[in-house]
Amino acid sequence: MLKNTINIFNKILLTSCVLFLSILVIITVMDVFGRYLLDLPLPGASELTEIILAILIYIGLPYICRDEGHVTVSIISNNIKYTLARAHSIIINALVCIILFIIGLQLIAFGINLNSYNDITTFLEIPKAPIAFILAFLTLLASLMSSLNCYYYFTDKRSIKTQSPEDRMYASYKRPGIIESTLINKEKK
Amino acid sequence: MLIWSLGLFIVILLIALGLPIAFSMTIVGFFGLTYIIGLEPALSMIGQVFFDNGMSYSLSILPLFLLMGNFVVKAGLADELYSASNAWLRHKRGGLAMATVIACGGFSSVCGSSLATAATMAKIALPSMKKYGYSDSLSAGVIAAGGTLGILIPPSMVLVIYGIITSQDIGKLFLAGIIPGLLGIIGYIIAVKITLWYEKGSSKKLTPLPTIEKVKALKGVIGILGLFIIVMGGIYLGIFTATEAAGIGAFGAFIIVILKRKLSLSSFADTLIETVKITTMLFFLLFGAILFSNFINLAGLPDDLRKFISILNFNIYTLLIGIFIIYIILGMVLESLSMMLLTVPIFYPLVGEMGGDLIWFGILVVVAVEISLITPPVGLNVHILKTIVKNTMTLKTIFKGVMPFVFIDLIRLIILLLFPFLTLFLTNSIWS
Repeated sequence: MLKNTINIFNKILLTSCVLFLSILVIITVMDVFGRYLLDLPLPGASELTEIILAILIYIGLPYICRDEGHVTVSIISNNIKYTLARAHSIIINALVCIILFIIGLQLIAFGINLNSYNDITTFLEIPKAPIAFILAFLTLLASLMSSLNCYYYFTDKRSIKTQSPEDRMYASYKRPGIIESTLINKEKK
Repeated sequence: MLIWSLGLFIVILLIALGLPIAFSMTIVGFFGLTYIIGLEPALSMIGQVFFDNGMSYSLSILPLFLLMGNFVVKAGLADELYSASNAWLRHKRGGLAMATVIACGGFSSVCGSSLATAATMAKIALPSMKKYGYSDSLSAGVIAAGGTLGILIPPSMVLVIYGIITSQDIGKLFLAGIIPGLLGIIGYIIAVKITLWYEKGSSKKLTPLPTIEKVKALKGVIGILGLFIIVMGGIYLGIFTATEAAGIGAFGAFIIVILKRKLSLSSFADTLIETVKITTMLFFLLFGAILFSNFINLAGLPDDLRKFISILNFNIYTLLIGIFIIYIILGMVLESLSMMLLTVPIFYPLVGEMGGDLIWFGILVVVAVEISLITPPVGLNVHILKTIVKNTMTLKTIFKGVMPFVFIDLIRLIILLLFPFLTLFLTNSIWS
């Protein structure tokens, strides 16, 4: 049941990732070409860009939390015993879960506030409150992912990444980078 | 004084304990703000920071340039750059090492991560340098150092982030990065020569390729070079803003990958999803940094720093040197972006007040950050390379190889510090 729901969400989110980012590129290109070639800029392009960007940023959040992919310095976690490392991962995920929960609640509060004075975007007159609610939902979803991680570590369903002694000697580093992430994914497989 | 220094200390502690950097800054920022302005305002500030900064037109430049970089990497740029520069330089003394410098510079500028560049180039360039008798220390040194080149060459994510924090024009920052970036490449080629000179060069010389082969080798990179010229030229001539240039760049890169037949439907989706994930990481770092800098500013850090500097009688140059030393220390554990996000909000108002141009300062900061990634004993690039070469080389060998590059980089930093016009020349001549 839980797995099915997660799978459905996963598909919806991944499709929206691809869709929104493509739209973002198309809007920008159409705006520039329209303005220079046809003297016809895309109306409201910058507002659409803003809304899509906000949603894009938050769509990735559940994934990053599931994969524990935030930028982290792992000096300590590489140098401790397995049981301790498990406890460490549980605490870190719990903290992330709490922070995201608070941020999610605040986004809801912010949305209610926007709704109370019917705040809309200037040109296209799109109401802002629903956007805040979408962002809040995605943040809470990410918070849920972190809490699931806690549960997996607690029941030992997810094991701490094993590293060679060579790697463990140095502070290994996770960073946004195309190559590293693909390398890591391959190793997982 | 006590509050912000405690805040700074706790952030560093949390980061060292393994909490994601973004959330370390968020937590401390939030509790600090609660202490200063109370719980209610602090909570509503969270809502504002995490909503308003997400809905920003100018910030859409980040995912667009990331997407452009991801497409270009998909198009196989790393191999093609290396074979092109190899074709032109291989018969020269130290030619393979010089080709590596140029390939690293080109690749890291679009890929945007110096760690990723070092990792990729190690796989492409190390085997051939080994085969033709280059010493371990030179071949490892050139790759570890080469990765840092592209942070400055546009489109540079680090400069975008700097521009956002300091509200400087991103297009201008990009233009300002070009000459210092090229100086870096020239400097590294000189460093290769220096290394060969004191190693008494044992590398074999290769036969030069016929001109027709050389021209053929350029074919692979011509599309990407063209894209770079369109993007930067458009910004320089004022045809489009940096954000629009990013959109055009992403679209152009997409066309290039299609033409090269390197894109299937699933790899297209993967590239986009990967871009979105990196965007999320970057933005949450940025949100955390904004919240944290709101806190330290309200806690009176800028005033205290000002007092401190007037007591010590610092001028702009001594201040900058002080800042550089701090970067070298931070470079031992933090990578470039987190380092900038933590420190730039603290330093840039001071530099601005003392009459330093903030675009010039941005370039200097980035160069200093680059150097910190390869300085012993804990330069991150070197350690990444070490994990790739495993036991075939010792850490000492790599650091020995990197030293001439660190030395040349320091000279570059001094030149850029003493002659600001090198940085500002292109920016000031911009058409608008």
